[in-house]
Amino acid sequence: MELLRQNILFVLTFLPLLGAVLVLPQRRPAVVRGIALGFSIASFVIALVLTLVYDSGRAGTYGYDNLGGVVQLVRRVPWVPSLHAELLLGLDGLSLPMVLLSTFVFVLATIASWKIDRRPQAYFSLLLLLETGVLGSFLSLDLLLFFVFFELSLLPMYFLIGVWGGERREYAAIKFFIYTFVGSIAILVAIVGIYLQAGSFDLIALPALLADTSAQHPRLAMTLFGLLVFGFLVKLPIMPLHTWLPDAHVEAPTPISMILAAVLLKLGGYGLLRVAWPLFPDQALAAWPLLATLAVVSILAGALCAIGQTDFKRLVAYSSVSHMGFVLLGILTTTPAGVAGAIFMMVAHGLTSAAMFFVVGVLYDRVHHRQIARLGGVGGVLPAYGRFASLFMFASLGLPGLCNFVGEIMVLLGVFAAARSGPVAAHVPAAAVYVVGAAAALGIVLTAGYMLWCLQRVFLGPTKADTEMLAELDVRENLVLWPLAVAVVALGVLPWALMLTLSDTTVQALLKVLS
Amino acid sequence: MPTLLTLLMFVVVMPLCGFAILMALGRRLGEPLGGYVGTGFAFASFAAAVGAMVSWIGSRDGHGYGVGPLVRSLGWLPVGTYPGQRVPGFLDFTIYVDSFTIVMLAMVTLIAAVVHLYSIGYMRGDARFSSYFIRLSLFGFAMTALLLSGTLLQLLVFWELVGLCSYLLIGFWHERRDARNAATKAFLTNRVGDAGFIIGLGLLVAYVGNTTLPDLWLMLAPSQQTLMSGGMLSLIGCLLFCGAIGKSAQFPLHTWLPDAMAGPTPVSALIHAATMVAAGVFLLIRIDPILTGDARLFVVVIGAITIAVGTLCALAQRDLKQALAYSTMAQLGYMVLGVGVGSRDGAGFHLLTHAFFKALLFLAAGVVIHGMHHKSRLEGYGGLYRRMPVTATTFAIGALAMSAAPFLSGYYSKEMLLGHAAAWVHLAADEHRSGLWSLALWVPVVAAYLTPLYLMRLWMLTFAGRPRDLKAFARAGEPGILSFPLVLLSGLAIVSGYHWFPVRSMVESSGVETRAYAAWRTLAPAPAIDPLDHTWPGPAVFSSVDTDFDVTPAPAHPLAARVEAGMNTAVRYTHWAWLIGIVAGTILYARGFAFTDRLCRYAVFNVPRDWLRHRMYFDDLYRWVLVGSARAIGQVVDRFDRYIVDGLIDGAARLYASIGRGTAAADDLIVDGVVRGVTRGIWEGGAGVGASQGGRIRVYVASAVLAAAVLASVLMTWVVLR
Repeated sequence: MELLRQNILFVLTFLPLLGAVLVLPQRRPAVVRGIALGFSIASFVIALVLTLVYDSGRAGTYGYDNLGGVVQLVRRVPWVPSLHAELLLGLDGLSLPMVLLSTFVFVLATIASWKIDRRPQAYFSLLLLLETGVLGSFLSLDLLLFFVFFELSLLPMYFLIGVWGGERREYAAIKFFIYTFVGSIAILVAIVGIYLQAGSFDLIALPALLADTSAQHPRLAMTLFGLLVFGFLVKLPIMPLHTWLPDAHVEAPTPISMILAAVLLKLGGYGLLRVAWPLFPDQALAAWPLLATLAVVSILAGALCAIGQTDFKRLVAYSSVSHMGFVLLGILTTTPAGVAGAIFMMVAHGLTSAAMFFVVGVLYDRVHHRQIARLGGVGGVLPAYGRFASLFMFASLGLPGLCNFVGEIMVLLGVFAAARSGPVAAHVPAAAVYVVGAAAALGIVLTAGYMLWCLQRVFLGPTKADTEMLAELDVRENLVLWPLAVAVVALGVLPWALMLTLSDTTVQALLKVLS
Repeated sequence: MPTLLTLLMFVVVMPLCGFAILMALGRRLGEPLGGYVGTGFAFASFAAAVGAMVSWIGSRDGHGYGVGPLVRSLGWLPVGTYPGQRVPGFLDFTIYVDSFTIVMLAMVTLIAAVVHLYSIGYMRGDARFSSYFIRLSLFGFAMTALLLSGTLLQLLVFWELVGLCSYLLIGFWHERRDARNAATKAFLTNRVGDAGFIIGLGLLVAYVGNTTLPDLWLMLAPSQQTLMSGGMLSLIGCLLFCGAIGKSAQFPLHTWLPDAMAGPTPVSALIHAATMVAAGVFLLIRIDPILTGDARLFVVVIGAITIAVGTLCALAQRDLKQALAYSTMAQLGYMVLGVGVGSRDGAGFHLLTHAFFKALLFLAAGVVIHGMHHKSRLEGYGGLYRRMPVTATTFAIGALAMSAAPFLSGYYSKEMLLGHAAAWVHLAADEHRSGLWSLALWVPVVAAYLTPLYLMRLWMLTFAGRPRDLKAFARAGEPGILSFPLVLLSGLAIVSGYHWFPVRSMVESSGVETRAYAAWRTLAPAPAIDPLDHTWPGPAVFSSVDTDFDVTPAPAHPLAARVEAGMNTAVRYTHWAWLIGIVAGTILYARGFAFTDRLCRYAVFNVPRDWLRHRMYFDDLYRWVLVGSARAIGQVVDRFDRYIVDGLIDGAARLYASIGRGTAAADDLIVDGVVRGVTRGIWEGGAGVGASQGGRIRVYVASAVLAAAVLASVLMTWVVLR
């Protein structure tokens, strides 16, 4: 039992990999799907167990628990001794919400993939491999290991889009791959630089080790920070580094879109919070005006782009860009409300975006196109589906009582709080921060605009030729929509009890590092 | 207090239970059972509110009701604002209860219950009968919870939820284009106001770290606060007021309210006349202690413009409900102006009396519309008094109450409000302010003459004269389930202004409680900080007509004399306004449209009428300028994104690919050419060495070359890495 406890993070990380191997030799698609579902559910159960095992009430520093820190369940295994790189996994309030979100979404994506009939062995194997890559990235505290997992998540995605995608899948897949790969190379160069400076890959120890570098070689530190941020912003994505996202989403099959939006984008936000900010807090402050501008531009221009879309799925893709702007903004505030809000926003967006992409997929399965102009009255034809869709759209536009509101309001209030307290207040004039906050607040108007306009055109009104006869939701679709709906409402009503309490001590500890 | 808390909990939870049960069983219950379930829970909520009121009044101890407000907090998002520092109250759930809350709860739950009952008859035969009651129950929950909110953030939460209910109910008949457009417009317009509110909230958090109401009053009372500059506090006040501009349909965000009449009429009565739109005024009364003089001036200006726009537009509308919607807007303008001039009591009082008579007017209009098969154009009405005597009578009572006819509720509240406005104008004159400030009195006074005029116009065109649509007239009637609420509400429209009726006294004791709370928090016998130092006391004696007000509140209030003078001014100018307006309306519309249509042959009448019928062209302006530009900008940004931002990426990729192709060609020609040449040489040499050994030699040679290449590259790598 103790052995299991010690290695539970390794078990969680590599369990999907085992599933990926087991799936390959299977002949019957039913068995393949069964194994994939079994392994994804098992991972989710382990993540739930982790929630119970992780002691979020123990306040501490941003360090390992044997030294009074918040990082728990740490397991080290030598890996590349000559580079001091280790297989180092640990869990804190930053990774736990991400792990919960990822395993949850993977279960739903597996269910959503039920009808994939083109080479299911390969598909589900890649899906499980992707899960290992994602979980490994969230759990590893060794920078090199983090990078390996980060890259591991890239390749399966490339194939999943490129083989199982839509008409322009090859273009989208290669664009996704090259774009994010360029980001990865920037991160790799930064990692080499960090290692040369600090002589360690230990993400928890690095902030202290790099403090000298930051002071003595500010230009070097700024370069390294810039490279890291570039890489993670591509992943997030933030305008103007976002153009891979709409294409990838439009071409990806529904379950892959769900994972891409719900989980893979979060690698960017997680990377900023885990790597870029703690390692280079001063540089983050120095780059504040530029990054805040990018965040606000993402929020507003992303929403404006969404207004201009004619394709339902592209609209949802641009809404992701807009919402990720809030994540970056929350991280930038360096206040408890803002950073906790950014983490919450990542989880909330994970749920709503997965739900929205599934909603789009459900419609696409029935009418075989996504042109908003040719849709209409779907809510009248499929009332249950219409209710789900409205719920998720209202969640997405930040209606109180549903999850996105909590994230958005915490980030917004965090921005204003940052104007007068915390490290940002010391570096940036209060008026500038207010302007940033006010501009971001205007984003909620635009968000409501494109969401309601879309809702009106697709779900309300009289039916059109394409939407007259539609099949009701089947069991499989209900199995995906119901858990998402419950989670969206539950997190909106009880944000603290269900999610923020997990991240609170870590956010407090992290902020001590950042200020 | 525990019974009170339990009762308050019931007030909020009952509609929520109704919502949950109807959500689960609605379709099975069907019509009319689903409606009765919803109505039952609405009445249960009302009963609990009455219980709470009784319990609250029962705990009085001589200085008004209770010794102070009830404040209870519960952690919701206990996140601090500063690293390592927890500010309790930031993002917490708090309830704040004073007399005003209690009386508002009673009013809201009463009208909600009545509207539920009425809706059973009104929505008879609708395909989505239970869905309607689901939405109505959700509104009941959100609205009561909004009233109990003790922090501005919590208020925002329920504020948006009532907005959602409004959206869902306006768009209830979404097959109709006007309904779904109106729903989206209402939500978006409100969002614009909410964005301002959120920015104000953010500034409060930045400076105070907290949005809890009583704390804000004490920390930010303009006379006391040292936390920020007066300009910043004014800005915060104006930004918070933006929320009310949206919700209470104030100029310039008023255009959604007339459109919202596309929803079912009972919804218009409940949400868009009596309760939700008044939430903006409720918010203003709650933040009244932190409004600075400049912020107040802004509030007054917006209120006055709204009164003018609403009253004028109401004069010319051809649709019964839209005319009533503009009158609602104008009355909300009165309340907003009231808070601005420091008439917190007058605004609160008018909010409550207005809720009763406006709900009455709308429900009566609903009977007409229902009876005339969902036609709401005045052209198709006329002579309906004979088919609907109860409706015509009750509509008249509501109209009289709203016209401020003596002995009806609207008279008391409007006179108090106007009296305070006059006192404010007098004060401004004493301080040598610009003469423009007196518009705060003149705009509402002129509107007071026009209000009975347009109400009389509606009454005459609907109920009097000869029927203009005989076919519909023949089938019109008034079912009992629709008439009963009208009788009940007309009773309230009469009595709710009297002193013995717990409306005015409850509103006024809310101020007493606020002061008591300040005294208790600052531990001073007389409040060291008076959060209400700018508000006018209630008038002692109303006017010669009325002898009901023999109770003198605060006898030695320093401002009492000014209020007295103000009351006299207001009474002098508006006392007969109701009668003049009614007579004018009767004369103008005695023969239906005949007289006014004749007048409008002249451009001098026709041009303004057209202008007003087109709602002063605000809707067109917004549609072309704002909505159009948002869409156009959206498309431009999308094109920019697609062709410029993404084009750069694609261009880079293409450039890269062509470089790659070039390199590949070079590789093929030059590098590979050399290799091929060498290979061919070896090949041919080998061939020359001996055919006997055949192909084997070639394999050897090829292997040797390969081995050398591998070795070389390993060596190179080693050298480089070393």
